[in-house]
Amino acid sequence: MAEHTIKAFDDEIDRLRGLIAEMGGRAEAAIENAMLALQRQDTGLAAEVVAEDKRIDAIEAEVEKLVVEIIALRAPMANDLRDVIAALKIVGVVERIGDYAKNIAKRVPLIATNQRTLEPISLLPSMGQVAGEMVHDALNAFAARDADLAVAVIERDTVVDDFYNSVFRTLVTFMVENPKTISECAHLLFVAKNIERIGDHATNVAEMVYYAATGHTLPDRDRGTTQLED
Amino acid sequence: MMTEQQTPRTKMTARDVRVFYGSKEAIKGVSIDVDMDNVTAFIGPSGCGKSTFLRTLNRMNDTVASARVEGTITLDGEDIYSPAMDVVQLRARVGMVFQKPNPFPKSIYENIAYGPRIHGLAGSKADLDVIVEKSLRRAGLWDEVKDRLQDSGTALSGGQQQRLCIGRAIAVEPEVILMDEPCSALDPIATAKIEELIHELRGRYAIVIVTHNMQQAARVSQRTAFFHLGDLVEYGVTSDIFTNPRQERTKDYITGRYG
Repeated sequence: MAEHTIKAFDDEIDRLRGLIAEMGGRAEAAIENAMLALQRQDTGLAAEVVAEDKRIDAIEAEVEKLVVEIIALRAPMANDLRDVIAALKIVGVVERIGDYAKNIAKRVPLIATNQRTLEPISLLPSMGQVAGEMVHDALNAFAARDADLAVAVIERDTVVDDFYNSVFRTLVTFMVENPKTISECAHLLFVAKNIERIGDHATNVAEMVYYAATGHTLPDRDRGTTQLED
Repeated sequence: MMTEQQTPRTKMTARDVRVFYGSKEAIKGVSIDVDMDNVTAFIGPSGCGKSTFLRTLNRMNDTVASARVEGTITLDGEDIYSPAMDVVQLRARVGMVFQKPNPFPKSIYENIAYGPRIHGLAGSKADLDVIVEKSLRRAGLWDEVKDRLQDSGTALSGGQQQRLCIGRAIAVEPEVILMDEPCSALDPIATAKIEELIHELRGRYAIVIVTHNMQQAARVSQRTAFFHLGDLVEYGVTSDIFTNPRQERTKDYITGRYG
């Protein structure tokens, strides 16, 4: 894309996009590490995820401040305006994604049970991986202004929803058969729900990317097949 | 959000209009409709032809010896370049406000009264008084000048002079008001008053404004036309032009990437 006549404007837009890329990378890492900590019962890694979330929150605040400055000082128009508005909305959503990863990490010490007794846990890493990839691709789509990639992210949300339904059924069945594990399984249910919400939020990011890239909003789509809406 | 008219009342149409200065083609086949219900803004970089095109709408280019206009421009369906058209009448129906306020070196009262008097719109002094007050009220100037109507128009501030010129245009009961950079010589407060005035006059007159200030176009208009190198590149709903222009050239210009 051609440069602005006022170069400082380009610098600010670049800084904005850089901050969002960093924030997305951190959110993605938080999801990955939270799931790793869960699998390995690694409370140290879980505590790191919780601590790292502060940086995600800080970036959100920084982006908000920068967006207000850009709107006030540069009066962005057309695709610039859409980029800036999308950036503002995206950081709010990515911050929530970070919170979900943090919530998962916080549950790790509470699920300190011998993993072998808790078979349903085996589905969660794959589910987490899909959700993490959605976040990754949604942010990549923003960086590349790639509407097609954004649409692909949105379509993948049903995979996460299917995972959730499957985990839900598995956990309920498991709890009925192993009443002693109900406490741990309840935590795992929340973990699954958190991942499912991460997928929804990645979808929201992708919708904003689509708007920023094309100037059009996507028509309302079928909101997946989760059994339990919160 | 703007209020959309279902069927805009078309006031003027231009079809394949070309303007030549000598052999140079300054306007390269522009077609556009101007309606009563929306303020239309012409934007574009210097030399893009927006002012030249504006001037074709009331035949101001007639006064430029080397200028030649081709194509068709109509006012209420009537060809304004036809030999039957009375140009003086045309310019009363299609009034114009210029970049620099240019009041007559006469009293405030006379600035407004002059046009209606020569066009025979007033039968008596009392009629004229009514027209002067009504015009100054519509121009948003009455309260500021009602106690000093005999003072010279040139003694007013720049913003007041510009509103006086708008009042002068209104006084002859025009149907269309063309404004060529009406605020570029004014400070922000005077500019805001003119913009508010444009907003109030909308619907009563078809208004076309040429402006260098894109924010002004965004603020005052419901339709925006982007000109570049003599072409009408894009014409559409103002909010669309400023959030999602279709043409690359429009996008580059309004986002500050032009040139």
